[in-house]
Formats: sequence, structure tokens, C-alpha cells
Amino acid sequence: MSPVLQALPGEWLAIPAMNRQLRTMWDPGGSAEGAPSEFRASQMNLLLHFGPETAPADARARFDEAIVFSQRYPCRIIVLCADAEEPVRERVEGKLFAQCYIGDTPRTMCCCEALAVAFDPAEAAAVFNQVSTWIESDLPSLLWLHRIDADTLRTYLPTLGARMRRILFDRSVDGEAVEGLPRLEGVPWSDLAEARTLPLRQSLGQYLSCFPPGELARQGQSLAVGHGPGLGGEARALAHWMADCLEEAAGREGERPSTTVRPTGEDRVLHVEWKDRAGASSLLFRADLDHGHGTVEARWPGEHGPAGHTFVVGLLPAREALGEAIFF
Amino acid sequence: MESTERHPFLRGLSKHRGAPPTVLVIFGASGDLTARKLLPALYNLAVDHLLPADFFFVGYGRREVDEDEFRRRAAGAVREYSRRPLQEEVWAPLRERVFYQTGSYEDEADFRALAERLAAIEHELGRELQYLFYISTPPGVFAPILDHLGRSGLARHHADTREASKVVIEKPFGHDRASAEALNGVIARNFRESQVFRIDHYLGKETVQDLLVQRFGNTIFEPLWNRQYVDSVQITVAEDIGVGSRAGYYDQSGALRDMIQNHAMQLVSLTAMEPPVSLDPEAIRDEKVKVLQAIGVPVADPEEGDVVRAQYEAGLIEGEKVPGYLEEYGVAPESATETFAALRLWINNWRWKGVPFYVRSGKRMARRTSEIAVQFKRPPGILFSGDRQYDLAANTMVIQVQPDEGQTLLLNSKIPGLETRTQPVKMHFRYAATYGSNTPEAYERLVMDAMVGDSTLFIRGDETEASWRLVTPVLEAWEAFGRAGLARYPAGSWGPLAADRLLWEHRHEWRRPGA
Repeated sequence: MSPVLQALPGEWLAIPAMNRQLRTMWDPGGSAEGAPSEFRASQMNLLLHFGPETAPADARARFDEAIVFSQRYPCRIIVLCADAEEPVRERVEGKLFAQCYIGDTPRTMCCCEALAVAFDPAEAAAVFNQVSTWIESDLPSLLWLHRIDADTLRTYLPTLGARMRRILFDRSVDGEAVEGLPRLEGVPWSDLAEARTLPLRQSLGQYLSCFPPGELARQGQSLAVGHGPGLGGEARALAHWMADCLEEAAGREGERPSTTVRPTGEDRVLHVEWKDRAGASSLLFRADLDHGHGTVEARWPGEHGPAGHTFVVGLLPAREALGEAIFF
Repeated sequence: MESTERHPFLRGLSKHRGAPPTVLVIFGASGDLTARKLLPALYNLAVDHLLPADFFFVGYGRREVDEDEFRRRAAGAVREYSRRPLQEEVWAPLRERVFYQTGSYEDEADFRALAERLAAIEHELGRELQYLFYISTPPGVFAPILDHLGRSGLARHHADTREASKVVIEKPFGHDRASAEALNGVIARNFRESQVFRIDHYLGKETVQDLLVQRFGNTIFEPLWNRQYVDSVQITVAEDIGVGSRAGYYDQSGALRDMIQNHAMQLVSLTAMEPPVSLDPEAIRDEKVKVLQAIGVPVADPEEGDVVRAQYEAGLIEGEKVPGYLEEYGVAPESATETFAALRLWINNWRWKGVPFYVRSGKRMARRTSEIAVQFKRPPGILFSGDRQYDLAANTMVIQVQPDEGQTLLLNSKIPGLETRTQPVKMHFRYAATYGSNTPEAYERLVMDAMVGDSTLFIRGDETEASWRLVTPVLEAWEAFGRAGLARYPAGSWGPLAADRLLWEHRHEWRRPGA
């Protein structure tokens, strides 16, 4: 029995019973208008695919994040747990989970449902055919990959993947392994680590947008981003974004700054250091995520001494990061 | 750089995350609107990381208030009125940037003092600061405030740049056409139109914004959205509350000025407008103005005209007795102010010629509801007619603006069984069910839009004059009539019988929007 599937909440059901249960689950049974069935209207399908390397605790954490997300954006969640140890059985079982979230008033109640199934990656094609019958039709579908391997992805990407509105991944989880994953033309990919950096990009972006782009463009720029443990994806996203902005600020004659990303020993800290070759202008941005504040110290040509500034910063929480990655 | 070009460092950030450093100055900061709507809006924008990284708030008012006391009151307002609970980690940094300045609205020296204070904030920040002025005062001081902003130079701060000063003006925008034009004149001598944001908070509501998406983001509606297929349009903006503590203001205003000239006419223009050529704010507002200019001035004759006015009498609301308007505290016993008004409008253009637009608004009506109902023509009586087994309703699309935001489409369906019998059925789309809970409040969107300079959801000068053009002759006629022709309706009803007759003449009847 898949330890990941065991870690997830829900009732055990045989696969053939899943569709029947879905149909009858929200049946108001002739009750008056305003019965719970009105509130199970879904906005999208969210497929959460755990690769074989996923730890049960991680799976539970991601599942909980998906549930919190669905409280704001009602969705049908389909969880796929790839487990090479999963024995081939005559009857494949899964779990069905449903939750009605009541907000401030009954009017704001919304309901979500989650179906979870474990499978041997060798049987992926058959499982994904089944999954296609669980996807709520006519609504956008999103695929969230967690520790997925390229071989498994190749088995279903041309079929199921092609129907996805967007594919999500997390560079802080899967690191550079993401680069090896096959891509589908026309299906955009979004990095949750990058989405989490939105407040940092916003604070830095608003600060630097006060200066004319020409002042920010310098020859021979270097960009160094340091990060604490577990923030490698965020650091790479921040570096990539800033390099893009500086390259655009430089225009046609400019060049892209050289970029390095390296771990530091500082827990929950990200910092960015930007210099030009002459050292005439520099910027040092430090975000202390635990305390929620960031500081920037910048030196501009012709000015005496550094200009300092402080921000309120943080990373986007999981639900907001999912929203940012999906909708923007 | 050109204000229309996006700075490279704003790439990948949505428009609302690119606001420049801003100081919001609210004139009338000790008033009800600031406490109930504006401070909670700012707090919720802070929760969503949507306020600019450098944001300051200066409350300006005539009352002497200690700054710490103002901050305490601000926190209290957020606790009481915010849609989300106050979190200290969000409020604490915001609180440090909340200030209060005592001053008159008519004293030049006080505006110089304000200018000095704002300059000091900007100097300490070390970067250019956008001044966003919000006028939330009694309308009698709009003009002096605007003139002082001009004379003090505050209106031209960082002119023609992204950080150029902006001014938000609350309703009422004038009390008739002449006063609206005069106020626009005051604005024009101190600000450019691009700096001006006239608020109608209905435009900040999700369902009102959704109207454009529904009409122009779906193929199926636009081919039917015209005189060939539409029989009539009804727009209702109904309240179940009375005048409460606002009698002093309301008795000088009435339903036509308070709700129809602004909110209801916005709903009319969004329902009736042509597709804009782009989503540029001016393109959208151009089309709204065109519609308003095509509407004929309604005839105010109480017997044969297109308008009805009435006052509520004592009645029952939700089972409780309530007094009549003339019995309310602060209302003159001989008041001729209407608490209900209904109009029949005709839009004289190719799309809508001959289609009546019925608009009504009132206090102490049966329930609080705002909706737009587009009733389509019935199919030709060839099939499913002439027999009691066929109950065919006119297809109707209802956009529920508030409460229970969403849409309903009324269709006809066969009743399951051996015989062919029909009955009307509803298809619902509810915001709460589909999009979950806790959507942004209107003022969050509007304040954010003003900060980033997006005027789409604000009223342009010519737009407000166009709607006053329609209602001013009616107001003048009513002024001349006195109480003659002023109907009555029981509180808790849907309005006077005279309003029903307005529709009966064309074989229509008012909807009774249920729960």
C-alpha cells in the first residue's frame, strides 16, 4: 500500500465506485434551493502528481495546500501517487475526500472534492485514461508536479498533458532536475518558487522603478544572489528576474549581467548584490524572511554615501503562490 | 520615461503592483467613509501586498485630533469594518505611516502647512512621491479644496510624470447640471482630466465589472443584445433601510439625485453601450458617454410622463413596523423629497430604438437588491402556444449586482412526463459558489486603480454632465410641482402603483426580485 496515499485523508473506495460516488455526493435529494449542491460549483481541475521520491509528510503538506487553495478557488483535486513499490492488484483502490468550507456566512460556503490514487509508474497510461474520466469537463485543468521524473512524464504528457491549461512545478523542491523535463508547445510552465518571490520582486521593482532605466544600465554588471537552506529556487528566480530587468534597462547596446547563485549559512535570508565593473554603483538587498523586513543599500554615481531603505517583505504563502502561478 | 511605458523593473508584475511611492491625503478623514470603507480598504490592500512599498497616509480634517489617537481610531475602524481581521504584523508597519493634520478646507495657510508636511515626507523618503488627494467631505467644500490644491502647487506636483498628483472626488458630484458643470470648471482650472478620479463605488463592484466580460467576452449574447430580440430592460437599485441619520443630507437630495443620477445611470450605460475598440479607459468611457447622450430627456408630467416619484409611508420591513418618511427624525413635515423614483428611458440609437429601459430606486422597499434584468422577446406563437399546458416565460437574463452576486438565465423547458408540458426554469451562476469567499471590496479596487492611474472605473467629466442633463429637467419640474403628483407607498412594498402603470402602458410589469 502506497505510504503516500496512506498519509492522505479520505475514504477508501474502489476505482469503479469513484465516478458513481462523485455523481451522487452532491445530490440535494429534492431539498430547497440553496442546498449544498449549489456550492460545489468548481472553477478548475487541479491534478497533483507526486513522483516516487515524494515523502508522505511532503505529500500531506502539498495536499493541505491544495485544499486551502480550493477554499478560495473551488476545484476538483486529483492526486496521483506514483509508487514503484505499489503491487499490481486486481482491484485498484483510491481515496475520496470532500470538504465544505464555510466562510463568514453560509453564503460564502464552498465545497471541494479530491480523488487520490496510487499506481505503478509502469501502468501510468492506463491510470491516466481513468483519470481523464474524473476531470470535470469544460473547466481548465492544471497539473502540479512534485518530484516527478522525466520518464513518467513522457508517458502521459502528449495525451493528458496536452489538455492542461498550465503545468506547475517548484524549483525549490526539484531543483535543476526540472530542466530535464520534457515541455509541450503551447502549455506554459509556472514555477511556484518564482511565484513565492512576488513580494520581493514587487518591493525591489517599485524601488528601482523610481530611477530612469538608463541610470540602472551599467556595463559589466554582476549579480550575486545568496540564499539560506531550502531557498535555492527562490534565489534562482530572483536572480533570473533581476538579470532580465537589467538587460531590458540596458537596451540594445547593453549586456546581460553575469549571475551567480550560491547558498549561504544564513537561515531564511535572501540577499542580492549588484555591482558594475567600476564599482561606481552598487546595490545590496537583504531580505530577512523570518522577521519580515528587507533592507536595500544603494550607491549611485555622483551621490555622496549610500542611500538606505527598508521594506516589509516575505514570501507568498502557499495559497497565494498557487494563485499567482496559475492566474498570472 | 513616458508615463505610458512600463519600467523594466515592473516586468512580470501586474499593473496593480507597480504603484509608485504614494501618500494618500484624505480630506474629511474623521468622517464615516474613511472609517467604514477607506481604512479597511487600505488595510486589505496591505494584507495582499498590493500597497506600494512606500505608502503613507495623511488624514486631514477640521477637528483637532491627536495623531496617536487618530491611529488608535484607525485601528478600531479596521477591526470593526475590515472583511479580514486585523493582524498586528500587517498593521504595525502601516500604522507608523499614518499621520493626521488639522486644517481648514478654506485657509491658504493650512494648505501651505500640508504642502510642507508632504514635502518633508518626500524628502525623508529620498525619492519622488505621488500625492493622491481624496476628497471625502461635504460637497460644499469640494471647490475650495480643489482651488487650494491648485494655488498651493500641490495639484502640479511632479506634473506629467508617473508620480503626478491625482485627486479622487466622492459623490455627490454636483446637485444638478449647472453645479456639476461649475465643479468641472473648478477642477479644470486646477487639474488635468487625467489626474481626476470621480468615484461611483458601484463601478468597483465585481459584478458590475463583470458586465463587460459577460457582454463582450462571450459570443452568445451580443447578437441578441439589441432591439430585434430585447423586449425591455429593468434596472432596480432598491434599499430596505430608511434615511436613518442621513435625513439632513437626504432631504436635500432624494432618490433621483442620490441613486439614479449616478449608480443606476452607470448600470444603464454599461448595459447599453457599444463594444469599445479597446480596454483603454478612454475607449470604454467614450462609449458610455455616447449612450447617455442618446437617451431622450424623460418627460416629468405626473399624468402622462415617463417618471414617477413617491415617499414611503409607515409599513413593515422583515416583520417590524417602521415609520413613514415624514415621521423620520430630521425630515421636515412638509418635505416633498422623493424616497422612490422610477423612470422610463428611451435610447435613440440603432441598437435600442423602441426598447424601454425601466429604472427604479427607493428606500424602504421590500428588500435590498440591485439587479439588471434583460427581458427578451417571446418566440413567435406557432409552437407551444394557445394551450394551458404550455407555460412559456420570456427568456430573461438577470445580473444580480448585490446581494447574492451572480447571474440567472430564465429558460423554458419540458416537464418530464408522457405529455409535452412546459415551464420556466432557471440557470444560476453564483459568485460565492464559484469563486469562494472573501472577494475584494469595491473601495479596495478603486483606491488601487487611482494609485496606479487607471481611470476605467471612474466617471469622466463629460459623463457626469451627460447624466445630469437627463435628470436636471425632471428635478426642476418636481421643484415646480411641490408635493403635487408625489405618490406614496408603504414601507416594505415594491413602490407605488403609479410606477406599475409606467410599465403597464407597454404591457410590461416590474420584477419582484426574490431571495
